[in-house]
Amino acid sequence: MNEPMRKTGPEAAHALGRGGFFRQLLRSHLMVAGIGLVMLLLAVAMAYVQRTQVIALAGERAPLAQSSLRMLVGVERSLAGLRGWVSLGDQALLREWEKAWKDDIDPAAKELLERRKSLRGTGQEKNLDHLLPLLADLRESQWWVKSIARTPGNEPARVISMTEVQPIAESLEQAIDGMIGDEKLRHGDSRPDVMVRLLELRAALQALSLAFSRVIEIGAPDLEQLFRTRLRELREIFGDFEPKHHMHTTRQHDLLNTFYRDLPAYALMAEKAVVLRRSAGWNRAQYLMATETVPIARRVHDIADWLADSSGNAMKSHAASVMRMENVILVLEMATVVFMGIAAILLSLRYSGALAKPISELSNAMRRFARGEEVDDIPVAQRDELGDLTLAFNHMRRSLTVSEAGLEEAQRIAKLGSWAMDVESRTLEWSAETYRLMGVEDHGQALVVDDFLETVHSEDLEQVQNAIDQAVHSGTSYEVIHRVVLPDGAVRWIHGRGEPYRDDSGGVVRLVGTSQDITDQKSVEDAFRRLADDLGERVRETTCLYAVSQIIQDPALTVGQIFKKLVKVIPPGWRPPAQVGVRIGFKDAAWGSDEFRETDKMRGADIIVDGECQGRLDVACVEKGESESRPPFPPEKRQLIDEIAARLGEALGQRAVQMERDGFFDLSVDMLCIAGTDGFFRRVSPAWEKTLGWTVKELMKAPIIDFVHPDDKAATVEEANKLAQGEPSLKFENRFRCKDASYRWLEWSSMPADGGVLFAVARDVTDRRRTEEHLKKTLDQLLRTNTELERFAYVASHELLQPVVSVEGFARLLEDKYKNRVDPVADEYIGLIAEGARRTHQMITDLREYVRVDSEPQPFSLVNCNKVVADVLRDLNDPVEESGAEIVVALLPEVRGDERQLFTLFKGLVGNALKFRRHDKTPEIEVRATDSNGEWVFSIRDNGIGIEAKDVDDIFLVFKRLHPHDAYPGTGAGLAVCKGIAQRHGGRIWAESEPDVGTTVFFTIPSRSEKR
Amino acid sequence: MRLLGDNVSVGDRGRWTLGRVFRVKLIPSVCFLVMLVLPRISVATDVLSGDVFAHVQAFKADLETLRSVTGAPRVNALELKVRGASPYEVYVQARTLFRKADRLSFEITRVRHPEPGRPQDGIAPADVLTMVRRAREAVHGVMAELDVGAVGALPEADATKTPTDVFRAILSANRQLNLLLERRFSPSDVYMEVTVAIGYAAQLLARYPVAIRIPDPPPFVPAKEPSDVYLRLLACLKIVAGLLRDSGLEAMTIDASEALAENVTPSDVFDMASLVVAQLDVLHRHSQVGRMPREGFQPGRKFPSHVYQQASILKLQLEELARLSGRP
Repeated sequence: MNEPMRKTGPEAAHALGRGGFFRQLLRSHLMVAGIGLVMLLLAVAMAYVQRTQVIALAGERAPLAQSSLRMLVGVERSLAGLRGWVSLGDQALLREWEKAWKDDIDPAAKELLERRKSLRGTGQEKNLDHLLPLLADLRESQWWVKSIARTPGNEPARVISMTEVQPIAESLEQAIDGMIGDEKLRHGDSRPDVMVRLLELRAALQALSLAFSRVIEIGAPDLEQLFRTRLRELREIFGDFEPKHHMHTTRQHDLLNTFYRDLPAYALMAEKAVVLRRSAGWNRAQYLMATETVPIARRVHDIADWLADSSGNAMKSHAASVMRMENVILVLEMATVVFMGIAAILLSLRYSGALAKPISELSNAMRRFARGEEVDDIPVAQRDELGDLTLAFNHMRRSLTVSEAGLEEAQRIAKLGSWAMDVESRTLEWSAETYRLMGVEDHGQALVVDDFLETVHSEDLEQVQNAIDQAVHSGTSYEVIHRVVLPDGAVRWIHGRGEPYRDDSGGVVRLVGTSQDITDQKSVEDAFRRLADDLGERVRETTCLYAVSQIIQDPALTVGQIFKKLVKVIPPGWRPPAQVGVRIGFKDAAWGSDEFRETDKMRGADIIVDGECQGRLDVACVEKGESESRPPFPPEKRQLIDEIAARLGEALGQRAVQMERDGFFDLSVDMLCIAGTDGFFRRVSPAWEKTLGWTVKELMKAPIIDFVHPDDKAATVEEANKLAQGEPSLKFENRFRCKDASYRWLEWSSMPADGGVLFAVARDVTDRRRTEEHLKKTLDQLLRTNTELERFAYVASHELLQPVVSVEGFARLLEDKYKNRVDPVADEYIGLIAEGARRTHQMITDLREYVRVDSEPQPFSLVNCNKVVADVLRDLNDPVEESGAEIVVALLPEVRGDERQLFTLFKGLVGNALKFRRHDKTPEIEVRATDSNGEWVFSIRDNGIGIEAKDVDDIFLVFKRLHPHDAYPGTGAGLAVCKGIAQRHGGRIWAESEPDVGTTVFFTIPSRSEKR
Repeated sequence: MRLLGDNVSVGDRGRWTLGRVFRVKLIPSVCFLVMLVLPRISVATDVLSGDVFAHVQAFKADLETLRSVTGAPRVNALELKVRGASPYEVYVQARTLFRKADRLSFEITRVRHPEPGRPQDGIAPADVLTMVRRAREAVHGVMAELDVGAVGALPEADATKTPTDVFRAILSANRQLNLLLERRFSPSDVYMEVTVAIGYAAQLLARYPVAIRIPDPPPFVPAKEPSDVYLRLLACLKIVAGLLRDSGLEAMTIDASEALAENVTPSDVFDMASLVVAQLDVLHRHSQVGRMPREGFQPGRKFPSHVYQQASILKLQLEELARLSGRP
């Protein structure tokens, strides 16, 4: 831009300053405005004064008048309510009285008190000062009226009647009735004159009471007179009784005295009541109302009335003042309106000519420029605001010329052409870029719409024509994407937009629009669409495969159900699903979808289970359509079919294995389970439900530890920790809670496994535990009994031995000292004592030996039985020599045992063989041992007197003797001791014998781990 | 009470009738005359509290005789901490005693006794003594009517006794006397007395233009007992006593605790209400309000809860009065 341009720019308008046109306009307007302003100020001042008057009217006088009136209403309302309450006793009227104070009088008094400041120094203020105390008096007075009315105390005469007169009257009546009753009781009808007098007395009393009641109720002077007459009559009748007192009974006498006492009191009190009833204040509420409340109310009424009147007068005065001012303001406003109108007309006429000419020139130039005609700069006539406007136009014209060139270049770069169409002539104006896009040469000739339509692709022609027609007829803008065919046959995609322009009548006269080359964009969109289609297919296939996997892995479904579902979920892998039908053949059966039928387009795959083909999956294309353009079984679909068949085969194989495992799991009588490290069952066998009563769901819902007996929880947790560390658990027992709240003993064998689970087998050992506990208790009891018995026997033998030894010793002393010195009988007795003591001593000694077998055991050691038997024979050397016995001892083994007790055992058995020998034969004794089934069987055989078969078992009983003392000495405890020793060594003892042939005694000792 | 049987001769009956007339009419009349004369003598001879106390003690002995004959219950002790009772307060209590005795007299003998007029120039122990003697006269009439033995002997006067001691003694006699009445002092009587107090308080509040003379009653609270009313009136009494002291007058103080509750009867509450009225009367006279207080009225049947509500109005009035007169 050069310097002159800058001077004529918009900024230069300010530099030009305010010109003459501005000053002329300003001067004329200011004159009109100034005069109008003065008149308006005058009107405002008047309005302000008027406003003050109105505020005073509305804010002070009106509320004062309103409050005064409200108080008047409230006072009257309160009086009405109070009168109603006093007269009728209706609570609603009392509430009306309260509301009068709360709703009317109190708010009005408050309002008046607030307005008191504005009334300072006026007569209203003085009256207000009188009014407020009067209101307080009125309120208090009304409160008393309200309180007294409807109470018994409202009528003092009635109170005296009730509290004083009535009781005395009742007392009098009772006295008379008592006298009448007594007369009847004592004299019957024999004294009619007395009875008549008594009845007259009662009648007189009743008449008096009635008269008194009427006086109190009605209060008329004639009734008072009647009352006094009745009283006099009663006294006269009663006076007759006094001279005739000797005729009365004692009780009548007493009652007459009561009458004598009460009658004056009655008369006194009744008279008092009558006087009160006659007084002006007989009704206290009404009296108070008339003498105090109403006068105060009248005074309040007068003051409030005066206040209301004075406020009303003040309001009238203010209203007149306001009216006058309102008239003045109205006149001023009308004058302002007239003046402003005249001034505006005159000034407009003066300046319109000077303004019109340059504006008209400027307007013509702008119109020509708008039509596209060449327009030169307009000369500037004067340097005022119109000159500025002309300069601005010139600047705008030059700027637009430059912008058009820039626009053309921009269209070329954006491949965006513009156009315009004259609707009436159907001629087109194209930009240079539009010519290029349409492939049309610009020969400078005017184009028509048909020229454009010839370039449009035949398939899009109708669409384009409709868009243009609709824009022309309905006046709506349009957008259309179409193709044009270039002269070389190439196709170009065009995005066309059109905007209608209307004339003043509303008809569309021109279409203006753009055409943009979007061929590249369309290519990219096609590529994206194809990619999206492929992606959709993959998603569909993956979804289908997922659905297939879900079905074949569902353990709840049978094989048939799986196939039935599969033929429904496979078709959605194609688009559309109805395009294909599916059939699955497995072993001798087949399942197919409704759409399936064999066609020439089929694809299948074998179902291989455990390496063996057991079925086939077939997919048939059953519908034409899209398959024309896209083959039904592209590689991806074929791969899908193969994958489904493979997964199906694999799943069926796993299913067979699972069924075998489940069968084993379900049929086990033991309780099998799989548990997680989270402490919950993962799976349990049906045996759980049978044993404990819980359902499988109940068992799996709660932590395992919740089922364990509280006393076993600690041990169970400890065992679970071991399992968590990978150690197996065997034979662990705890108690498990059943559904019926009982507990059962379970023996667990558990094994940790991979995957955070463990396998466990639980066996119900409750019965075994009970048996064991019973046995244990029995054994304990037995052991306790044995121990006590042993202790008793041991203690008894010890305690008995001492005195027996003493007896034996002294018996021998007696025998030694006095035998044959006293007499034969004494010798015999002493002998018997000594013998008895000796035998007792022997029995105790044997008993101690018998007890000692278990009470004084020695620890077992390896004992050589050969040595033991040798020691025994050495110990029995005397009897052996005495009897001349022949003793054969075979090779004996070494056993684990108590050497001392084995010595006693062998000595007892060999000693018995010697003792019970036949005197007609040489004793022959054999000691042997044989190994039999893990134990040594020792035998001591003799050729003695033998034992009857029936006594063979009895010989091992303690102190069991088969022969008298004098035949064979001894106590009979020896074999019992032997039996005890054999049993302590874990063996048995028995005998085989035949009388006069001999006896063989056997005993066994376990031979395990013993060496011979 | 001695009753004549049927075996008594007619002559005896006649003499008995005259005897009864003599006892019922003549003795009280003579006593009445004596009592009328005695106060004048007593005033002239400087009656002390000890003299009054001795008469009250004799009165109580008479009551005990009556009580034992009629079988009325013996009143429970009421432990009150009374301090600084003035002759006027004792007088008011004695006036209550007289009114009760008069009621008893009317119930039994049908004889009414005029109440002694109130002295215009201050209350002295002699005035209290007059009231006690008149009350005793009424009781003697009753004893004569019932033919109950001799009246109690007058004990020696104790010069150390104070008006407060007399007050306590009269209070005790009042309580026992109430139990002898057929128509005992009830909540309705208390209501009437409290209403009179409200009238006094309203008159006193009328001196202040902004004062609310009779406030709205507080909500009715059922199931109140005489003890509740008693304590409320006691609170009123404290406020009035404070106002009296502010005015340079003497005032009695009574301290009572919740423990009183079991022993308080409507009669006690009536006595307390009478005291409040008496003190308000003193205040009213001292303040020279000019307006005459309003009379009470028989309100009909009322429960302690009604009286409590009324006493609450009084308390609000007195609190307002205290606030306006500058008491904290």
